[in-house]
Amino acid sequence: MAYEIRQNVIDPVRVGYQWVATRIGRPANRYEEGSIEVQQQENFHYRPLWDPDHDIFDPGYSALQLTDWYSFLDPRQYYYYTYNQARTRAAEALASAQQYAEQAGAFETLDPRWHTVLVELFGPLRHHEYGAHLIMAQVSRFSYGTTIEQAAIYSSFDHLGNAQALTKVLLKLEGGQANLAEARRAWLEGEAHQPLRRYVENVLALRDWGEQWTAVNVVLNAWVYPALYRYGEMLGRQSGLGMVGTTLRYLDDWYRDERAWTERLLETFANDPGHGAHNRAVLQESLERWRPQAEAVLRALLPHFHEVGGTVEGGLASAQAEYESLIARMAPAQ
Amino acid sequence: MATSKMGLKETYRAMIRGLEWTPTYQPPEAIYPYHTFEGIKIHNWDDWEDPFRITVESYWKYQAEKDRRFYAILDGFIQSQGHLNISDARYLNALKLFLQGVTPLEYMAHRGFSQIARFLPGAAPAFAALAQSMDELRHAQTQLHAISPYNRYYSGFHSMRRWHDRVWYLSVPKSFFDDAVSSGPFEFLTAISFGFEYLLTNLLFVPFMSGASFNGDLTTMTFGFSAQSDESRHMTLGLEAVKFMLEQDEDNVPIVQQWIDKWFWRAYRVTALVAAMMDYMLPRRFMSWKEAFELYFEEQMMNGLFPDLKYYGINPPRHVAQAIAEKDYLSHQVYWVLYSFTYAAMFHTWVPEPQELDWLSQKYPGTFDRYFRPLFERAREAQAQGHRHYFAGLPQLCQVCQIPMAFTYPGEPIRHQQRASVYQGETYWTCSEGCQWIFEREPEKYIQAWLPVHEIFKGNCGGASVPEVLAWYGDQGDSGDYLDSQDRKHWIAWHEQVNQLV
Ligand SMILES: [Fe+2]
Ligand SMILES: [Fe+2]
Repeated sequence: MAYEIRQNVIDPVRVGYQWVATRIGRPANRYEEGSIEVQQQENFHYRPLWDPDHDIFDPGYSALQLTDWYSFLDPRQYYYYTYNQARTRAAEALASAQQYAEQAGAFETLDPRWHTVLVELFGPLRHHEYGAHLIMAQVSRFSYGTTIEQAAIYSSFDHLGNAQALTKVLLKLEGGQANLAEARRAWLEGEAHQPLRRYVENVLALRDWGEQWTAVNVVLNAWVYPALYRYGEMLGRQSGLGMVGTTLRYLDDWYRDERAWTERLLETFANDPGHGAHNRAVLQESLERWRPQAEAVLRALLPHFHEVGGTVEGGLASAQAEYESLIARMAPAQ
Repeated sequence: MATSKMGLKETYRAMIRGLEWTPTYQPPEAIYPYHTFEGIKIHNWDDWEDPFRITVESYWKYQAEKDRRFYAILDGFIQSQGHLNISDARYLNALKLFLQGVTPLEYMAHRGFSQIARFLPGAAPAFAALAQSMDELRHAQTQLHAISPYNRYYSGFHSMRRWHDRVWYLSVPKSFFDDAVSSGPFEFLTAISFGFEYLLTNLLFVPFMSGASFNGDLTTMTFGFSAQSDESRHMTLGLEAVKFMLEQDEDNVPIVQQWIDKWFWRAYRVTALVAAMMDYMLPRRFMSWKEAFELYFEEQMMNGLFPDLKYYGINPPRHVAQAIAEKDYLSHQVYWVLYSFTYAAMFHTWVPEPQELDWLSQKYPGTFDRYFRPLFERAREAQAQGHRHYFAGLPQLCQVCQIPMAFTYPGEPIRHQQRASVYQGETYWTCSEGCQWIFEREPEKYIQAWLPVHEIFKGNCGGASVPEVLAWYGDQGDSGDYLDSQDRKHWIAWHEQVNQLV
């Protein structure tokens, strides 16, 4: 039994903001109220000086099209508050695991083979994360509609957070700041990282945010996180990475969360009632362009795992499976 | 351990800086195409100072905690019918102006700062911009949430998204921000980070928060306090951005000066709506427009900031004297315009109560009784006889600021000013020397303006008659005089209902 407080209830005049209410026909939750159709839609006053062919917000910034741009809703229902709440929880869990590892001396006593892998393979990925954060900021600016761009700005902020999480590990390891310099050099000059750097720079130079999103969220992420972080963490459990591996786990967990909106948006594009066939053709073309490059990225990076018992094939298998299951979402809904 | 050997400052640098690199697989200008066309020269992005040493992790933590508190208060407000505790339902018209006019700008700022974060090649300013992009999304969402409980009970909120894109007086703030985001990145920073967030924030944004606090609007006030720490980061970014440009190259000085001249006047014209709100729409007033202008602009900016900027070769804004000359009558002229056209505005106006007229006389001893009190007294008499005064016909709008052309010559409260400029054989009208100067500097930009009155005449707004236009706006009794409004009827009925319980 519950006790009953009598309340002075005054019946509201309306259920909520008109534009949300007409769309969903019931009181909105805070995600819906703060996200649906918030973006300005019409009567823009001036063409951008830096791109007079487009409006300030313009569906024409990408070849990908939706009949209704709000047919995409983030399945995680992240609005600003819930996003920050989710992230600070994850960051606190990582920080306490690291503190525990530090007290246990795990960074100082780390197996030197793993020291090498962390500095030489993962260290340069700080810059990959930085590049991905720029790309997602561009998607946040140029994509159409609040629900898509909102997911992108959180992703942008996340990638910068990922870069900082990697930075922290490098600073805690023997070598400290010198590790950062070493990692930067590898990013700029080391042979293994050049396909990845080329990939990131090529995506940065694109103007179509839809292709940028496809190249990063659908293709590159599905190869990099499973093959490096998930597979790496698994190798670490078998070969002395110990508690230091929690950062790799953190990045893989992040990827799983990122995949949630990626697959929903992919489904939405592919199944759009008006543009589905067109979108599938556009997506297919992008996938054909970027998928082989992503595989080349991994073929160049995975040999770093040899010393800790990994194989190129092992890492690729994990990425391949992930990628296939993601693009299966493009199949028309039955 | 390695980290503890480094100071805080060094650790922070390692977290934020050194992540960017000069591309080699693509030409740098393919990746950073937008930061050179304005003519601003930057020699060393690393000279940028970051006064706020926040990391992504500390940002998440701090912001989640602030919002936890904000939403807890909001939930309590909803449960306890907090809307009945405001000073008077007339107050809500200030809040309507805020939700219709300002909240969409928060959102536009978010998108604008995403662009800055992406396309400025310096990692430190790009991070400041990224954090601001996040903050502005926060502001748009928390404002929508904070004002949502009022929307369930009162008019003037329900279709603010559509109104912002369509309704005549809202094209004033909308065109202001469209102007900024359609500019290059350095001009955007000067317009928004410096002009809007620093130079005039206490006259543009803060008056709504103070109004909320004085009038018992708990949710908006809570938002205001909770945004303070965000705003202080934004103000710092604005000042740092301008100083950085000025320090990087002497050639930047005249460019920045022109932007300060332009954006001061552009933002000042937007404050005209705030001036009317402050002096007329708040049942409990916190200060007059004139007092606010003197304190926050003349004292803090003219006497505080500009002497500092002199060192860089920057002068006070070009049309500042005209703004100062208007402080004695600006709010009255603008409220009279709003009062006269309320039949097509998505808020209510009214003739001030007698004691409110006295307050205005006292705050504006030189002008109010002489020029404006008679207007309102005549309007009250007409209304008593069943003839609520409305201006028949639609006003000519200024081509730049888009306010109806009701402004007068500086220092002369009743001699109207209309300035004509001819561009490509067509005549364009502006309201003031400031707006005309802005027009003539970039006519190719301002002739593009979507002027609501022109669009009505062109038949682009649902039809040529007032009822057709109101239907296109989605009016549900949101317009007209407060005395005839649903808001007033409900306010009285709901308070009677509550009082019967006592
Ligand atoms: Fe803001
Ligand atoms: Fe004007």
